[in-house]
Amino acid sequence: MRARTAAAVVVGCAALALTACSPATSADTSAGPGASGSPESGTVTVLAAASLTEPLTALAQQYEQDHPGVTVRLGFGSSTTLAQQIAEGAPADLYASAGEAALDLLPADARGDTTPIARNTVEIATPPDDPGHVASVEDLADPDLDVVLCAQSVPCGAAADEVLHRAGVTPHVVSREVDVKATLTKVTLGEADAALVYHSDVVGAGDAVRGVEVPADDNVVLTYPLVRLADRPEVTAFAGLLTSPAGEQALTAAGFLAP
Amino acid sequence: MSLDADVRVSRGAFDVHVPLLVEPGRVAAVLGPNGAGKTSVLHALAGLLPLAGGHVRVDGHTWADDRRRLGPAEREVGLLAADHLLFPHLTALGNVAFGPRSRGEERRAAAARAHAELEALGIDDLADRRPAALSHGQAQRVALARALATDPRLLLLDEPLSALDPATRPQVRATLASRLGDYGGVTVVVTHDPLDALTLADHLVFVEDGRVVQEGTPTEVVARPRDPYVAHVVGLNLYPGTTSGPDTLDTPLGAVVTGGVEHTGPTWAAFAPSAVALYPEEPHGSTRNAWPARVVGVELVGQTVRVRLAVEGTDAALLAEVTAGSVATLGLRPGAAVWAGVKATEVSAYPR
Amino acid sequence: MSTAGPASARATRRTAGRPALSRAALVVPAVAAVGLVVLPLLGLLLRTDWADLGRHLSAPVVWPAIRLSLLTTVVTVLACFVLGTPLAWLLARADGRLATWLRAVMTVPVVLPPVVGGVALLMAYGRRGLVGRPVLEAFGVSLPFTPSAVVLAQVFVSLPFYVLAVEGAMRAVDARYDAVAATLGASPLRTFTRVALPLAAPGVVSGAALAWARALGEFGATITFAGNFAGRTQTAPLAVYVALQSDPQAALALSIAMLAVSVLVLGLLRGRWMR
Repeated sequence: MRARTAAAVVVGCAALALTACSPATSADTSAGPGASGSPESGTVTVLAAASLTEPLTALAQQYEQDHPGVTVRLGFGSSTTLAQQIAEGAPADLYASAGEAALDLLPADARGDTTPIARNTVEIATPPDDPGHVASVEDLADPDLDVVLCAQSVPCGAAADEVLHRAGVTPHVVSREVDVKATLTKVTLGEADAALVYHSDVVGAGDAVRGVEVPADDNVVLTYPLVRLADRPEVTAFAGLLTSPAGEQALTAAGFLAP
Repeated sequence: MSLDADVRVSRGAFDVHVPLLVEPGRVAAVLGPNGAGKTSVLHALAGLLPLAGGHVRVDGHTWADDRRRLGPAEREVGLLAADHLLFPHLTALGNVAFGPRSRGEERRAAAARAHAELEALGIDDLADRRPAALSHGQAQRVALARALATDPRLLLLDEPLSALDPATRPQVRATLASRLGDYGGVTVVVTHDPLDALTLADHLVFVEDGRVVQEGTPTEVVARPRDPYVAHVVGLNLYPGTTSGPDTLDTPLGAVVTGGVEHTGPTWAAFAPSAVALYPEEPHGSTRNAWPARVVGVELVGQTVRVRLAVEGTDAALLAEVTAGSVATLGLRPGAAVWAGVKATEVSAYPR
Repeated sequence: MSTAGPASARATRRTAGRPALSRAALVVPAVAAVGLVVLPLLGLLLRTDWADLGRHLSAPVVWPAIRLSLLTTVVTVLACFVLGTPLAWLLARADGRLATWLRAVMTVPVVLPPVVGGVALLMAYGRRGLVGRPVLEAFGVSLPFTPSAVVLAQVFVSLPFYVLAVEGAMRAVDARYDAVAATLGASPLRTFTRVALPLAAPGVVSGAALAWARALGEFGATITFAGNFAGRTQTAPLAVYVALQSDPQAALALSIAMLAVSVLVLGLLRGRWMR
């Protein structure tokens, strides 16, 4: 009989998409110390736009060093996909989106506690040797250039479309990638001549790409809202770090604009 | 068409060395126990195995020697194995036409040739059947037709009847013998069945451990085996001996009195199992040779009984053929003690 | 129960309970296995908006993706057949170190994450790749972001499945048929086309079905190597992934269409060739 029960538990876990059975869920640490004071233990799960990869990873490491009992788990991807995953029940304590459009996909009761943490603009990225000789948005109209954009459905794709619309340029687009990091990769690998990504991505890529700024008239400014989906002390504390001057400093160092 | 081959093949454990000289239209049989290297010889002739030395020449064309080696497709050979190995996805006709088609014949000409080959074996009515719908004997006939449809200069038969059941074997053997009679090329048949060899072949080559131990026409070999294995195959008792008197030989059996020895020195002594008589006690009278022996085995072969004996005080074995009645009267069962006797006139002696 | 003592009751329970328990040890994991596969498919079917399926299927993303997927997978299977069958035959008849190594190398894409495969393809055929750069400089031809790149990615991931399946089938063809064909005067090519291929036909068909299924589901290597552009490199799986963000019902409709095509093709093959 016992064997059968164990099997049933295993099957149940599998059916619940495994996450419900992982040993360190956020639920079992809710009985921590009071709301005031520094959290001693727990796990914070953060789902964030791909463009936030570098600064959030650095901040999470710093936070874990300062709070040895707390684990910060990070997941990056397209804001749209992550919002859909949260709506489908993916466990998340904090959600940081590129732009505000993806927030509509969150369940209605989860949109309440929203704080902007950064802003970003669109920029052209080319390989360091700039094989396509790109100096401006208008240069992207060259039909011999292979241009890569984000998919229309993700924020960086919508922003790129808006920039191109404002500049009145129709480039030769060869691919619409699923998120901004994949878009940038096509340029760092030298497969594309140019891509429209965020300024922060160009900064983060360092020498691997060359950035060409888009004039403010044609550009789009995206706000990055942070959505708090749980109010356990360690979650509040990590959210506090992101909105603190230290957090802002880390984000601006990574190429973001202050909120 | 003639075959001049000196086949040397390396088979790991031992080397095979079998020279073969066969006249056009003749059939040579290679006999030997399992593992003697017979099939290796055949595969070397077909080009499926490389020669380690020697040569294969057919009608003056060199197929293989130290310098060159033609592939199987470039040699004009036909191969028939124990398993018919008909291509299961082709009809009987398709199988027989495969060779001519492979050698460049038009589809229609190849089909006509295939029909003719099947007709020659009396099985043209099976032309549209797949191998799965043929009996084993029919399939083996189709395989023979397939092997002959390319007009091979050399036909190689590898235990052609051994996979057939005893009831069909005589019919297929007869078909084979009659078809080989019309065939102008050289045939080499490998077998361990002496009946196949004696009914099909003009020339017998006995191979043991990769070496030829005796060869000759069936008549010669049956009359005067020169090797224990050959004697066993043709069913004779054979002992090496040395002349020790006018009519007497020294053999592992002891002294053997013969019908007459015309020479001196090393000599074979041979006599048929049917010449051996068994007695409950030491025989007297005309039986000059008599040995005490123990029965080792008894088996019924057709109408007669074969009795294997161990001769007391020696390592020699003896085969006797007696009637079923004497088994009962003498109480011949393993372990029983008897006397075996052979008349001097039944023992033939010839130089070793 | 009877009035028998505890010992006898235990014995009864043991003899009665053991078969049931051991059967449960087989049935429970089996049912779980069926559930793991069937439940997601059921979810797909239940969440689909059947009433408006036609409208969703006519979403602009759907038809180009299906057409591209069918076209590229058919070309992929043909490429597998033309290139993979001779390789499978040579491997099936080869022994020795080289064959062992080749076999191992050909197996690598089976275990390689497809995205890594995509990166590897870029390193070979990308604009800065081993082969891609000289070809681009000499002919001005670049592979990434083209339907040919989609085919290349699909061939890369599905060819090993094809070769392994067909090699197994050809290895099972009695080597003595090769010898007989040779003595009948057949060249190696004729032995391959007229003997090995027909005899291994069921294996070739199931290998092609495996390769086709693998190609149809290809995602990682395609998006990495060929990119994602509607009508040119956006195959059905890519379209499903992207549409899920903007038009989930179109994504579901496309998924249903792929499911239907796959079931149809595999069903036909099973009835005709694979028993």
